[in-house]
Amino acid sequence: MGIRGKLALLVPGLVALTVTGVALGVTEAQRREQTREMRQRHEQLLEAVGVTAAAYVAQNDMAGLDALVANVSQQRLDPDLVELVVVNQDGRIIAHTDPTRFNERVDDAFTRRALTSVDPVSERSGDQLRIGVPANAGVRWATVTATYSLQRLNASIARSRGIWLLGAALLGLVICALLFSGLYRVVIRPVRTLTRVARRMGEGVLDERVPPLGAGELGELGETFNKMAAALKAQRENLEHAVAERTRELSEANQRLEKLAVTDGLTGVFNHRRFQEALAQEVLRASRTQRRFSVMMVDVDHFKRFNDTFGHPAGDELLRRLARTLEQELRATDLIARYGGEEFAVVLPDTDKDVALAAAERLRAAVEADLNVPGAEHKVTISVGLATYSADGDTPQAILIAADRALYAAKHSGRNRVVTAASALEQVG
Amino acid sequence: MKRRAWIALAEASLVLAWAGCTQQDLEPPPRQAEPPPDPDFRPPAGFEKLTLSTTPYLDPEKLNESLQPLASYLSRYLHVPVEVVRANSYAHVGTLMKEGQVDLGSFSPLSYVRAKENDPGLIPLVNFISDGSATSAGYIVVKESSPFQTLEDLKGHSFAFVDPDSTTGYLYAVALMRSRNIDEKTWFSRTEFTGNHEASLQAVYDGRVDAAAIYQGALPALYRNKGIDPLSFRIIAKTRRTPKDLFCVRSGLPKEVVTQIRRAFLALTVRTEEGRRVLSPLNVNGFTQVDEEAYTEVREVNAQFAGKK
Repeated sequence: MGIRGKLALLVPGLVALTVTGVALGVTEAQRREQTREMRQRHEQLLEAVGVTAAAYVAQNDMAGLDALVANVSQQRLDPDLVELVVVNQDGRIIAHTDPTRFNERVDDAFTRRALTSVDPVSERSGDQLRIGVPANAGVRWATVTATYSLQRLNASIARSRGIWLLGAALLGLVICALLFSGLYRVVIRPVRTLTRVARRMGEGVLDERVPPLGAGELGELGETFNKMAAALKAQRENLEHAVAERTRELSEANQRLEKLAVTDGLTGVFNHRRFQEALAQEVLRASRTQRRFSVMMVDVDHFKRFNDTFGHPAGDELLRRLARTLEQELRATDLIARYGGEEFAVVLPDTDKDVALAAAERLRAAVEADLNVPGAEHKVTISVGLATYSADGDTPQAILIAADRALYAAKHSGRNRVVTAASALEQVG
Repeated sequence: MKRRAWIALAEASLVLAWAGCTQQDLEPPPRQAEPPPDPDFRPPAGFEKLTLSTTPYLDPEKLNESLQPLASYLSRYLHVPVEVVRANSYAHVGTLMKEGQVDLGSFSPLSYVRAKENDPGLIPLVNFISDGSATSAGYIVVKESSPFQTLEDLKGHSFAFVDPDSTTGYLYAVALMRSRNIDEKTWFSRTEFTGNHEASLQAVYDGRVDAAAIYQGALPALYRNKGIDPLSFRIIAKTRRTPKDLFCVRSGLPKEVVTQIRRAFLALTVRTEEGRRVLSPLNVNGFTQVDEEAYTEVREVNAQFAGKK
């Protein structure tokens, strides 16, 4: 149940309890007051009756006393009077609203009290009020007691109570409406606004802000919400920034690692593993597209001797320079890799034998021209074996074998030359 | 008497004060709406005399004497002689009126109820007021010196009633006895009808009977007429209150005569010398218009016990 539902039950409940309590309290006070007034009024009248009755008793005028009691007992004079009794000091009835009760002895506690009291006495029991007064005419001659019905009074009180309760109910409704509308503006609406904003914050929307809720606790709570939202937003932005930074760094590291994994450490060109992958991919692609490609195997001639002569660092430098030459002379789309030792392998996509041959020749010449110092004793040259898919093989292994055989043929036939797989076969053949 | 009048006045003031102080929805006390008797009244042709009778509720001789001032009073307003006719019993008045021998008669409540049954033309006119009330209780009395304190003590003793048509002197006394499971026919050793209330009291006083049923006015009447002290008697029980006696006129009396008689009765008051002269012998405070409703209870009690005599 929401706060509105609880207030909708609580507010009318409390108001109803309060106004009903007030209404019942007021009517109870009214009842007491009216009963007290009735008792006082009847006490005074009975004292007057007592004076007259005493005069009759003093004169032994039984007929007069009877007439007095009969007259006073008339319903039209006092509809509340149930019975009027004159009792002598022996406790015997000498006159009664019902004359046939003459001479009866009355011995109830109330009458005994009335007989001995010099002041009026009264007693309320249930729907009846009894009053007893002495019948004095100089001396006490008798006691007058009367019983009054409170039914009319009670009925009047009940009517009054009904009116009070109705009025209280109407007043309660008005108070409820005013209280509820006040509470709605002061409590419910701000709380619902706070709830909406908190829910949006929970959903991740940190731009939502609580509008000003005025002074007081809820206003303060609204401001605190806004500060919290701003702090959360700043924190999240910082976090996102840090995550992006870390992601970028990780990505770069991955790229570096990836590159390291496929790069030859000495020359900076791809390594043997990357070459194998590229070759396999190119075979697949070519088999799918029915296009040709070629593979070049390049080997430095007399590299061992170079190493022995100039030392390994010079050999390494030679390999690096050769790699630069390969990169310069070949196309950006060609994949250059160090196959092992002083041997390089190149995949030339979309390249038939003739174009490959021309490229290889251009390369060989470039090496011969660029890597040698004029007049130097040791001349650096390369031998190139060339194979073309699918004329020289339609699997990676077959092409490699064909290229390798062509390289061997180039070496064998005097080095510093380019030999195709087809011509290598002819040489062998 | 003077003291009694003061008491009655005090009582009247008290009753008025009471009425004024109680709830506002009460009716105002009844007032005499009738104008005074017409001083220019002239008897219609054929109406030459008014005959007046009463139930013999007290000693008949004394009763006739006490009716004389009333007869003179009425004669003055009617401009015809008024003659008092003596009735032999309670029922006799009704008979005389039905026969046209009596024009104006007083009845006990019971004799009125019974006469009205026989003569529906009987017109109730005015009610007696005495002891400041239009109703009265009946007393069961014994001699003060006797040991009897209750009706129950009277088992096997003698008892005097007034007349079978007497309300307090018979019917209501029987009703009281029956309410206490006393059957008057078997409870007492002997019962008798004495004819009037004074005679019943006299019988108790003389020791001829042990107890009697009387109306409350009989005690002062006996004191007035015979000088017997009311304290010679002890009241041991009271009956329910009944309306007081009433005057009726016979059917066939000219309407203007009836109106003049009623106005003459209602004009009587103890506040005038003439009123006191007429009312005092009758021991009456005045008269009021008859409330037929007041006789309903008498009719009911009559219906309940008349067949059980």
